[in-house]
Amino acid sequence: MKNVRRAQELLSADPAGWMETLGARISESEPGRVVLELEAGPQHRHGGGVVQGGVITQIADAAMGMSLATLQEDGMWNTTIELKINFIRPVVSGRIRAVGRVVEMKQTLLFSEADVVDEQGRLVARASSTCMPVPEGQGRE
Amino acid sequence: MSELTRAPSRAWAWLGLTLVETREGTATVEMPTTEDMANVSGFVHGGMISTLADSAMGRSLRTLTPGVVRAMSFDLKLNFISAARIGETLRATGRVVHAGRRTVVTECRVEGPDGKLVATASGTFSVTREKE
Repeated sequence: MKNVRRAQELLSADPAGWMETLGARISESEPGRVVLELEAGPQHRHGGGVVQGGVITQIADAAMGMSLATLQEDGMWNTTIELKINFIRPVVSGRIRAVGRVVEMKQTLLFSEADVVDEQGRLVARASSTCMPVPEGQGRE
Repeated sequence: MSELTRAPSRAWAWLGLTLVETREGTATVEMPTTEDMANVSGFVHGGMISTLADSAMGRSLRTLTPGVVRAMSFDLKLNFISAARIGETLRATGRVVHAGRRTVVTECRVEGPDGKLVATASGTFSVTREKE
């Protein structure tokens, strides 16, 4: 079920909560595919001088969860129950994008993937996740 | 026997795995499923599907240049999406996502008849590569 309206709402919403903290924003959103981006800076780096893996995981997880939500009915959202990521190339600065896409929607389990790419389009990380549908707006999404 | 039909290992021969196609960075491996591969529910056991996916991903990195002379899986992850029935032939396509000097990251789709998505997988391999 394509939730076109939800996809549009994601795109027009102002960043809030963790997205504001991290400086992430939703740059593309359509049913089954959502892109989050982040301007990587010193606030995202660890002692080794590169963007910390949790930051990359965060935007990948969110892009995956949101891409699934664009194929869910109103009143339902999802929560991640399992996530795996491969870090392929380090990033220091520039715009990084997490492209989340739906692999399969089942009754009780939702599967998605995300590619994280740097400003040159090079693959930085590849993630996959399994999510579970939950009622929307109960502090659990 | 041709390169495509010769089983590269005893395990491949035992499970009936056959290489059906390779391209640069990809390999497709088929496994006919038999009663011996059933789990308690009567569907194909996940371990059999894992072996198939691991084999397809492992084979895909053998298509790289410079060549891979030695490879070991050190990470294997699967999502089981649909159950596979005994008797169905499963087709796994492994694909190289990233090829480094020491590690290779791969992914795989396992499909049943009519392209039904049975599982997705990802694997990371420790490799030794030929000199450029």
